[in-house]
Amino acid sequence: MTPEDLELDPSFFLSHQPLTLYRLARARYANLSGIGAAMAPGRWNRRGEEAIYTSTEMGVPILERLVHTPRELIPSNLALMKIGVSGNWESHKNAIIDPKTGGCFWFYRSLAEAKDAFRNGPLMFTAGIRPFAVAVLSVIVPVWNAVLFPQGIAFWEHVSLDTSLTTNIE
Amino acid sequence: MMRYQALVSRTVDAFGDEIKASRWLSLPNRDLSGQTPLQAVQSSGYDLHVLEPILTRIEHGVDY
Repeated sequence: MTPEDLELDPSFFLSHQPLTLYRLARARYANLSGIGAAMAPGRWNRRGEEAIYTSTEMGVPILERLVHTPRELIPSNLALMKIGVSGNWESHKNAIIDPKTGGCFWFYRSLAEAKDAFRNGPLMFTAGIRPFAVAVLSVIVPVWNAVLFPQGIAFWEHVSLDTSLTTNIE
Repeated sequence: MMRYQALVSRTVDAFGDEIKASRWLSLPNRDLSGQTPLQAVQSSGYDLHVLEPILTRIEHGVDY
């Protein structure tokens, strides 16, 4: 079975509240601006769209890096960020939504579904509701990753960076 | 010479380490169709912009 065939259960997000996400970045950029991906987009955002690439598992950002980069080329100035996501969620078929803020955390249950959506338009405008986060499957392990969009509705009401938990790694 | 120094300086800044920067510059890179970053910069007349998106992804953790 390849990652393309996998389908994960989004009930994960309701059973892991408040949710913690992890991101690996240079310590200088350990913030929630999303500007790096706006300048140099990844798989799930387009140029000019601020985005933050995270995972629900602590080891996965490092693993995603090691897939493409020999260990001896991992930069010496990285930090592992812990990002909190909280809200008073209502569960929907493809999302959890906080009715008070309008904040939406959208799920793509499979890579194929996410790829189709991305072909048809930016994920940050999914379903026309500008989610502040979109969950997508990791391409390398059966784990949810999440792309955060600071321009999404109610991003700053639901997403926070705990700087006391930001860890410099070597 | 100044342009080469600018290349080394930018790369060391991104990797936080001279040895890692030097290795990265001399290894084939899949984002550069198998060229090394040094080859890509040399063939562009030392235009550092050819490496900037790759270095930015490394620094900002845009890994997937």
